[in-house]
Amino acid sequence: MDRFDRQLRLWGGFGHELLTNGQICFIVERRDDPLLLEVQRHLLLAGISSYLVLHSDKQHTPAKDAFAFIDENQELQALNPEIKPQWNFLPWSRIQTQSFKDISVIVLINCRDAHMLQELSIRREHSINFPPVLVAAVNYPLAYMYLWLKEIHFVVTTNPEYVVPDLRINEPWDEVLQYTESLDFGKLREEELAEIPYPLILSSALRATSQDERPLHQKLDDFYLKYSQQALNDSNYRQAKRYARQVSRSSELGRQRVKQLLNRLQIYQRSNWHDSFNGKFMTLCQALGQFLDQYHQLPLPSEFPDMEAGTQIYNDLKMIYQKKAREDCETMEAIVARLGFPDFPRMLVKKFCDNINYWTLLEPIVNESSVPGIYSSTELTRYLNEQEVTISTHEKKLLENLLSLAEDSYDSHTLVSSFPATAFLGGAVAQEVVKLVTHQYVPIDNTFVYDLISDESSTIKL
Amino acid sequence: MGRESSITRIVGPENYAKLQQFKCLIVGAGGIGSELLKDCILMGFGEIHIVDLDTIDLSNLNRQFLFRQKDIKQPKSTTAVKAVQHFSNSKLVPYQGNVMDTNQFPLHWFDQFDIFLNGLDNLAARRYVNKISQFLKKPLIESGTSGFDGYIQPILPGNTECFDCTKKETPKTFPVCTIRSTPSQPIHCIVWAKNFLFNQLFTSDQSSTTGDSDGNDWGTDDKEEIERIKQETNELHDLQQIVHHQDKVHITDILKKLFVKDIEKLLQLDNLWKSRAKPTPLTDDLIDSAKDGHDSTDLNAIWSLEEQISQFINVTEKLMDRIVEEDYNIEFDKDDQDTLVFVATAANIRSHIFGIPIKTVFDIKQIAGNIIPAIATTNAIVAGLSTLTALRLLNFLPYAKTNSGLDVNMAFTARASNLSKDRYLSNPKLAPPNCNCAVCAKVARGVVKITEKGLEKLTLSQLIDLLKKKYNYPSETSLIDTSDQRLLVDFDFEDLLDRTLSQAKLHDGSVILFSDEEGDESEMYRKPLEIYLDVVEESAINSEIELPALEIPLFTPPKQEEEDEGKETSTEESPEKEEDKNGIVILDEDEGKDEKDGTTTKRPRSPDQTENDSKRAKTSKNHNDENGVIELD
Ligand SMILES: [Zn+2]
Repeated sequence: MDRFDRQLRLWGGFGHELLTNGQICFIVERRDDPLLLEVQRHLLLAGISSYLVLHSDKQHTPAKDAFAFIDENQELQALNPEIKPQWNFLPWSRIQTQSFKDISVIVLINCRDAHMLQELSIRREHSINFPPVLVAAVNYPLAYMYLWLKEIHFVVTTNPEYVVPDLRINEPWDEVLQYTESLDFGKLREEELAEIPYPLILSSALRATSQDERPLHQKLDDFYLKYSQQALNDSNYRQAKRYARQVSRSSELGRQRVKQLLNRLQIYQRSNWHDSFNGKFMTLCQALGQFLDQYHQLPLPSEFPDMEAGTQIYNDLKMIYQKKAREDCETMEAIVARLGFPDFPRMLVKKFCDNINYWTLLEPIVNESSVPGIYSSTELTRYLNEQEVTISTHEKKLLENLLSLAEDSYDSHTLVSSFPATAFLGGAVAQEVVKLVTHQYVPIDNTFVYDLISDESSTIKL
Repeated sequence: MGRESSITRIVGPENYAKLQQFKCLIVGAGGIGSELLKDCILMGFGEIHIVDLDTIDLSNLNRQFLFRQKDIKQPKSTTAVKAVQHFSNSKLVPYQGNVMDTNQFPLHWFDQFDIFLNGLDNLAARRYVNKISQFLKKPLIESGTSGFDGYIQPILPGNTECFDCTKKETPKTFPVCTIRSTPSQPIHCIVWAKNFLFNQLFTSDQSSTTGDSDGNDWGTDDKEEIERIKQETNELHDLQQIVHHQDKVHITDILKKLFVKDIEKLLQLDNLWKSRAKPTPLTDDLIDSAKDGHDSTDLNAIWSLEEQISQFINVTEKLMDRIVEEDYNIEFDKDDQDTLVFVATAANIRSHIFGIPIKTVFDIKQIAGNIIPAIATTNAIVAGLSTLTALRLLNFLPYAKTNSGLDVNMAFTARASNLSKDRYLSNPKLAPPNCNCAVCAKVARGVVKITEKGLEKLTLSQLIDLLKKKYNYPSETSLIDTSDQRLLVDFDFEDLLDRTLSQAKLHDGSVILFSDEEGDESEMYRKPLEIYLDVVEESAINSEIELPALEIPLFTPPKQEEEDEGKETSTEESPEKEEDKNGIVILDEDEGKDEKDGTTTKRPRSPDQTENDSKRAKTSKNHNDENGVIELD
């Protein structure tokens, strides 16, 4: 486990398991393509072990003095002894008959062969379900990638860097109320007051000053300093002051955000999903809708943050919060069961409730073209025309470059591989694959272009 | 298309030939360094040198693709070079050593390179290479990653900001009294358990403990308290004896000493508890009854106090078993579960006593190991950008010629979570040097070449005269050895004037700071001059010493008030940092190599700075005492 220690901190055991069970399909011209090698080694290190490689039917003699920095057989095999990697190699001609149902992500690398693209597009169009396709290439002077979704992609947690704890201070439930009432600030000594966790200070203040129309942070001192003159020096009270501004908004903002996401989901009432994880998540969203209708609140996440407080009182409060979180989670489970899924994995319900403020979704494009948008000059032209007024000159230039590459006849033999750009893009593509497979962090939606000469880049939705 | 024709297509045939003559230095062969090595090879650099002090550790393997299981404990630099040889057309030269070691890597050694690429994991070395690049006026590309975040910063001395122009987030340092007497956060107890207790009991070298040497930042003037801390340290030697004699029956004595007696002594210092909650010592009974408790093995769970105590006893027994075998020296290593559990339980018991929330072992592992989860993908991204930027800095790319360094971008990869609107890479243009930067702007810099004989013969007084004459300094000046901020000479300290340079302990690689302490009639001062002593062969120069040709500008020291304003804003940032989700702010990529660089010591003293520094010390103390806010150093 130590080996994965670091990445576990990033995407957790949950994400790690998804990676372990993930299967990646690469579509490439040749098997020693340096971008393929870059992406491949990153994914092996991340713990993905199962690969399907669809390559050109043409036989390629290994290029002498090319960019192959890692031996595609032995070295890749030995890269990560924790897993037993398996590769399945097939020619493009097998695309039509290939079932992609176990594939987590298809990565199209440095190839734009018209015939292959057409085969893939037809296969995709004729399937009800199809994995996400990530198109990536280094084509001098550009390095780019594009995400081609057939179904919604759910993100369990965006893993935001800064979070405001969801403590429902302005919407207390009975047990919090009782606990707050049991504290009589007037009877506590200053040392005891210095041990009160800030949510209790704030909820007492809210209740005691309900007649005062000023916002909480303006009236807090008036309320509290009469109990403790030295409170301004107490770290718990300083925390209370810091969080006072957020109290009135955070619960409502969280609800609004979730309601908007649920609204976007209304048009996708399907029961058949490529990615079973997405299917489960859809069920959770349905359950959440009912939960909201019934309780007018989101399920409470179980994470209770550290705060300045005495151990006893901190633990008391933490218990109250965790009990409520547990109950909400059980309620959600019950709703899910009523929806027809009695054996729904409990861990997933909990994960969902704990990240209730951090999940999101990516949607497929409604009227998409028959090839990946980034390879369609119609799409690119349309985008350029529509956005003409709003895009910056550097973005315009990038897109025009992209367009001229799309219009060029494409011959992989003249493809200039600029190695540092390949290394860069390889890392970025692997990162996107990890995001897609783990359903954590927000993947780029849907186009990223980087110009290695001008050092300009752009992220747009084609 | 083959490699050569690809590169030629990008940089042009002339530049390709030039590139093959270029020498670059990669500092660090870890996560970023090994990526840089591969990229520089494939980009066609003629000669690549790579330096790393470390050997390979198991935890490196998940993100450092050049290393395998069989390479564990081998030097990183040589192993990396061996691993890439098969696809390299470049001349590769590995070194195992500390890049800051002036014996192995004197300044003229650095001078052979055209560009420096940093792939470093610690602040001290980053600062050092930055300074070298400033002395030699050669470009440096600085880089770092943490999780999905990464950055590169190209540095062109004289043109752009240097590494030290902006305040860096550094590992927090804490005053001794916070750690030893008045902890208020989990991190304080963890630092106590790891840097003080663990070292005292299990390591042979105790110089690095959160200790008692004079010149410490005690964070307190309370003599009684300082006395108590010193006494406590002495008493710990007895505890170490228990460990060394593998006296398992007396492990509970260790607990009783640390968590009953020492706390009771602390409680007697009334001053400490006037505005703080008092700690509650454990009781002997509790310790005795907990010792046979059952053990939880779940490192992700919060253990009860009894479990902490019983785990502490068990793990101390295990460490006792190991200590003889391991030559009376066990180092803390977050991947060594015995040492980790010891630190975690000791920290948690102390937390309990001080009413601080208790953490899981896993959380403590994160904090104690200063782990930032660096991952392979971000390292690859950053190294790729870094190599491309090297081409750009050296003017190898066909358009966007860089006339001034300010044409070059720095790059940040945006955090995965906020990509929807923001651009994936943000690349602000580089800024010009910060006029308040102590490294690149507030001082002038020069390399003084001197022979071995010169060091033996020349006195400080003669050196100062030479400097005054050559650069027009007034009569009152001062000279400081910046390695330890040791005052060599100033207007009321002239004891060393007649010592020779070598008697004054100056040597090859010494960096000394020469300052104007007088000013002229119009209150203008000569800029301080930082000098690198480069010891050379006698044949290399005409006399015993050679001073570089430099124009040292005059400047007016800023007024006190302006300085104060600047400080207000910087201290205000610290409470925000506290809210960081993980509670700790660390820049480094790699695990807990203790940062002993004491980020304040390298600050040269400019005429206006003496007062300032003492003032700064006062502000930060107020912060700690009255507000309990931990200042980022
Ligand atoms: Zn600077």
